[in-house]
Amino acid sequence: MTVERPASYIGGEPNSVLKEDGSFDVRFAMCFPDTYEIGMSWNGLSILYNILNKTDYCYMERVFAPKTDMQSAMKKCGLPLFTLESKTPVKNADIVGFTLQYEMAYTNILCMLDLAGIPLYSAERSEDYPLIIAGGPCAFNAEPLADFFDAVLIGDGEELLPEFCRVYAECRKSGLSKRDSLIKLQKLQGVYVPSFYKPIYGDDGRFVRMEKTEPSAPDRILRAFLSDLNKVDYPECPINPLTEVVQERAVCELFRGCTRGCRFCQAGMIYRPVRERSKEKNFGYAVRQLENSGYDELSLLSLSTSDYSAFEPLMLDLIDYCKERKISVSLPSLRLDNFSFRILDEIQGMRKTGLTFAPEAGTQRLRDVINKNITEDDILGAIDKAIDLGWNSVKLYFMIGLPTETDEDVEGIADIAEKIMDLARSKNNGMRGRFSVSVSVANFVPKPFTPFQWVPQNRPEEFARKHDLLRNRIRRIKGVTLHYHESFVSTLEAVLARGGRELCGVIKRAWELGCRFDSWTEHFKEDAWRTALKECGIGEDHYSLTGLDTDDPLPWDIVDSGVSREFLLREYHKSTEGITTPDCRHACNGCGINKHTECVCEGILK
Amino acid sequence: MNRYVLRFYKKGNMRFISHLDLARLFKRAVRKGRIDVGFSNGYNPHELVNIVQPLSLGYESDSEYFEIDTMSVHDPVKLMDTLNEAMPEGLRFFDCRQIERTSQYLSNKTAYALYEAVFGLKNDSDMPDAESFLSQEHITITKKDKKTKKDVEKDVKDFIKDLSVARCEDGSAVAGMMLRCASNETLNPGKLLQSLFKYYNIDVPVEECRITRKDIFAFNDREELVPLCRYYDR
Repeated sequence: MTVERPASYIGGEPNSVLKEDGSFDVRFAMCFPDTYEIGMSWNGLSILYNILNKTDYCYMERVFAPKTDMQSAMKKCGLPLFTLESKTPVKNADIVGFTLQYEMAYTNILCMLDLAGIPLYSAERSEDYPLIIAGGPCAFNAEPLADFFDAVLIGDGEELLPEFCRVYAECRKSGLSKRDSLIKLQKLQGVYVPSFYKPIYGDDGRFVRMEKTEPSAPDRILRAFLSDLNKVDYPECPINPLTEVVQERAVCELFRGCTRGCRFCQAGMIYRPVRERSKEKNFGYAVRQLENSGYDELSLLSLSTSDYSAFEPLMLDLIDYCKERKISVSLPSLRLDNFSFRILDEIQGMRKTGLTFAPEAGTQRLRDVINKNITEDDILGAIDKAIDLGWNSVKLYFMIGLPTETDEDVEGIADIAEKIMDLARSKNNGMRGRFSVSVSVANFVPKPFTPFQWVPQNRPEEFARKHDLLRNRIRRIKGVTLHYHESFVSTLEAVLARGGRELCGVIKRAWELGCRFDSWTEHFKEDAWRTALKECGIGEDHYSLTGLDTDDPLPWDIVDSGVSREFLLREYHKSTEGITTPDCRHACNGCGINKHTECVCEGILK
Repeated sequence: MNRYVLRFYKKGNMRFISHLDLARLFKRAVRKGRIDVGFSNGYNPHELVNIVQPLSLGYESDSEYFEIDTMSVHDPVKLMDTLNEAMPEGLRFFDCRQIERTSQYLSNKTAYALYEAVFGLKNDSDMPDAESFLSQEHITITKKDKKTKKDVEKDVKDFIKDLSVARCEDGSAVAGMMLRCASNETLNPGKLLQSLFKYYNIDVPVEECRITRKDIFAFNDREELVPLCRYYDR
């Protein structure tokens, strides 16, 4: 029996942590519901692994979804899902935590529980089974998975997760049952115990309200806030994977949050406010990560890297350090102003890789609707400069199906690509040369806790029509290529993102029908998903295509993200009128986050 | 620049690390240890290091070789200790010498490699007879053509220096194989075992054979076949 990439199942990587049995109270199995190659590239794992393993009471071990060949091999041998560090069966952990990074990984969670030999539904698990919990961005609306989890942790995990583990260890030591432990745990800010609430539905099957089944449960769950990044440890010894993973590099998170306020962006809303780590700390972490990992690449991570207040001095220091040691620096999500260009030119040197822009929408009108404050002049100006500096390929990211979108907006995407090619040609004596533009369009998925949480999504046929429209336009422009996604996957994403607890059955049924690794084109089973929806009596337009009324109760109202409903509604109304909202650094826009935690960025650029 | 050659073993779970993964791990160990490794010239400089002969995924080894060029002179033991600090369990350097730095790596000097394979047998009558297998006019293996991805047959008789099979006390069998292992020609022991099993109709999947490379060999000045460590340690 052979499996592909056996090295992803053996653990033992340099910088992975080994703790002796009995030297800790809580064995925490941290499950990433996708492959090792993807999960090991997730920075959050590195952060939590470092923090929990520095405590004396907790041992965090990693678990990833085995690929389908390994799954079959494990079933055949009767080998249950195990942790990479100590090879302990996941079933024997005290807490099993899943990170919810994207909706299309949901079936993998059931798959992993099943491989571990753990009953799927929390109601079916006796005291002998581990506590099953979840966190991550999708945990803000975990209703579609609520029946499977004992608790959901919402918000920043750096302080909440260790505290959760500590309290749980205490509860179990004092002999409390799981339920009684959960009653204590729900007092921690950010902890949601789904079984303490019951959703009530109307005759039409739509969600009406949550009813408490446990009197002590809070009315709403306010997310956890990490008030100061400088207060918590950041990893200095990242694990070195023994086999190639998607991202193998030192990663420094310069700051969390974003002040730009793009209306489609969930990350920009749920990670508020902006919290910066000091320049000295960031430099130190970057250097120590590089020294302790031996990586030859450093990536500076954040939602809009060049908005970091000490960006220029930090970059100059880091470039000095990295150049001397032949370390390359990558900067995702950069605004292309003059300084950024100098930096890019410097770090890329002779090897000019692609340059990436995310205008997101094809016309200024639509960019105003989504509050993406970038103009066509910005883009063309930046590309003009890029060509001068020797770049010969540009990648553009757009979304399709945005609220108020018309065919004119869709064609605007082709117009931008065409203008870029014209510009390249005019700068090269009328010749195209080697210059090329790659256009990627993603299908817009409305997400909870954004100003667009109420809007309808395009039907799959509508997406397909727009793809055709765009393809026909772009086909005629030489040097431009178009990439787009499968439409039904986006429909499902929207259903899972905005659905309620009624979807637990659908996900379970889809899993039973063989769905897993749904984000992998080669594994995605459209028919099985359609069958699952049908059998559970859920229309494919469930919430997602019809849209929601702004007065409708929302399944995720139980969670308070810290950004007020009034702000989201105000932003939504402004969007329909095409009115933009400035960057929070110019003036506070009143999102409400400063009622819960300090927001240091408001108005600093005034 | 100075050249050092290190011997290492690769055992246990580390048999699941591919050649490219191993190369990456060693380069990181060099960086972590802040060893002043030499770099190639050109737009895309890379570390001057070399794993002498790749080992197939799934095989263990008692004796592999790794070459590294450094800018300054190092104490070989210290150099070895530094690299060992970054090694996971199952990988360990156990010898380090400075050798003359020439334009060629040791990869161009190797001739053969000795392998040991242990495998279970379902029936007593399954015991293969190496001698009569070797007496075939052609010994063919099946391998995938790199370009066409199609199975092709290849005569490897000239690549086999030695093959013997013996029975262990526990009833399993052990094969010893001295096979061609040079920069341009190599014979994978798993492929040869497959051919042997096929010849005798033995139903053992080759993945279930535990294969270990015992050492890599080269011809010395007197045309004697010696372990590589004795070749360069003159």
